[in-house]
Order: sequence, then C-alpha cells, then structure tokens
Amino acid sequence: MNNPFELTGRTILVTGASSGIGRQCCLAIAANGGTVVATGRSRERLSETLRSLPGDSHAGFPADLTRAEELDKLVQQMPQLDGIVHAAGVQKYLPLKFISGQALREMLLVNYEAPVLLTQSLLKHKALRSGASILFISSLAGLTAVCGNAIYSGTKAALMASARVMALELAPQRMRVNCIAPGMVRTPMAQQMATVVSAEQMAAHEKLYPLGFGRPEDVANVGVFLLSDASRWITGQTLIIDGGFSCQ
Amino acid sequence: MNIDDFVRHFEGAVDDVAAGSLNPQTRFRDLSQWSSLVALNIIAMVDTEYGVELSVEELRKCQSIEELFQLLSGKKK
Repeated sequence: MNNPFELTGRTILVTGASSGIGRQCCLAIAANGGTVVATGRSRERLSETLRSLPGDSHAGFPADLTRAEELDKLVQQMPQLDGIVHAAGVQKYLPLKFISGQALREMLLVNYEAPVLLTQSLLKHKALRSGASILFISSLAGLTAVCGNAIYSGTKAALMASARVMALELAPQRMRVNCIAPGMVRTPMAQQMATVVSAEQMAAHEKLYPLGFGRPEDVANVGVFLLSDASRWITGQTLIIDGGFSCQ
Repeated sequence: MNIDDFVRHFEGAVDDVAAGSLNPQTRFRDLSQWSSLVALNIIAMVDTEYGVELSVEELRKCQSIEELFQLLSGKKK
C-alpha cells in the first residue's frame, strides 16, 4: 500500500525557489520523492538550489513572474504538474504615512497578482493534472497586525481570500487550494526585516513566540503534507504555523 | 539634498511635533516622542523622499539630525 505522505511520482512547481521557504520546499519535496520544477529570478541561486536536491529529475526555469512575457514563457515550458507552491514574495515596512502608490503596487504585484495570474495561466494551458494541490505561502501578517505592515498584510490576506474561492471553483476537478500562514521564520526575508527593526526588537519579538521563531523546514514539511495524498480532503484552508504565537 | 528640507521631512515623520520646532542640532533620540515606531517612520521617510535605504544600525550611529543628514548625503553618492 502506498504511503499517502510521500510525493513519489508527483511533479511540483515551486516559485521563489532561490531562497528561504521556497528553497526549503524544493528540498523537502525532493526528499519525499517528488520531482521539483523550480523557478526564481536569480539564475545562479536557482542552480544552487537544484544542485542541492537529491535525485536528478528536477529542473529550473529562471523567470521574473511580474513580467507577462516571462510568465507566459515559463507556462509554455511546464510539464504536467501535480502541485504548485507559490513561495515567491517580498516584504517592506511601510508605515501608513509613508505608503506610496508605487510601493503598494509593487508589493501587490509580486505577492498577489503574480501567483494568481500564474495559477490562471497554468489552468488555461491545462498544465495541472486532476487531483493537483495548489499551495499559497501567505503569512500570519495576513491575520494579525504589526506596525508598518499594512500593505504586506493586505497582500497576504488577499491570497487567503482568493484561495478559498479557487478551492470551490477547482473542487470539481479534484484539485485542492490551501494557504500556509507562517509566523516569523528565519529566512533572508527575516534578516532584511531585522535591519529595519533592530536585533533587540527581533529578540524581544521572539519572546512572544512560545516555541520561538520558526525554521524554513517547519513550513516546508507542512507544505509536503498539503501537497500529498494525506491531505486529500483538506481544501480552502489556511494552516497557521507560528510556534504558538496566535494561540495566546 | 538640503538640510532645511531634511529637518522639515524629519518633523513630518515624528508625530506630535510642530513644524519648525526641530533644528539640525536636535538630538532626536532625546525627544519625548522618540520610539521604535518613530525610527521606522524615519527609515520609511528616508526611502520615500530620498531613495536611500537606511538600516536601524546606521540610524543608531547618529545623534543629531545633522549627523543623519551627513550620513545620507554620503550614501546618496
């Protein structure tokens, strides 16, 4: 009998695969028998990610998903997919008084528009197999407030809301759509945030997490579960992974 | 970049500070309104108005508004 937690025979597209959570998802998918199709903006770091994956069936396609031509080109090259992990995202602190239209649009473009349009395009090109599992990496910020995060939180909450509708629309094709809402995870994005809020504030913030800050593997492992058959009956959900932060 | 404009922008980034009440010699960390939120505002203001990325560590090294202005002028080149 097959182990429902394994991803053997499944091909998964991962965006934001050059670093952080995206990169870790590639590692976890490969470790669990899946084939990775990785995309990210940095050709170099994408190659590095691919080199570190066990097995040799994986592939990489550098692309800037905010550019329509590059998104189209990526979709044309896609094999049949059993899953997508939308891990590409950017974060910038923008206190309300300093929100500019341009900064707002940029974050919305990368964090919300690109993953939605990519999903739409893959569907249109029939690149997703029946039973595929689509996963959006949202954020606890989409559910709770931190000063300076108005726009980032907006983009992450937008993903959660749209994912629920997609779950309904795609259920007849037995496709599932879910979000993961991680709390603070030790990634390059978190390091960049620390340059703005200071190391001391980060340390104080970590004390609010009963289990401390997370690691990329903590998110990637749940990603594998949501991509696998073991979560066959889970759709339209947001799984909060936050070391206990929001249970208080 | 002009120091007087910079002081006005700095005032704008601190809540509850009357326009014209700060000057280049103001030691901003001594202001009663100073907080980590204000620091966030200053970093955002510098990015929005001057296109310079300032880290909180760099902000720390400055005592007065003028010192911060010098630091930014250096970075902008």
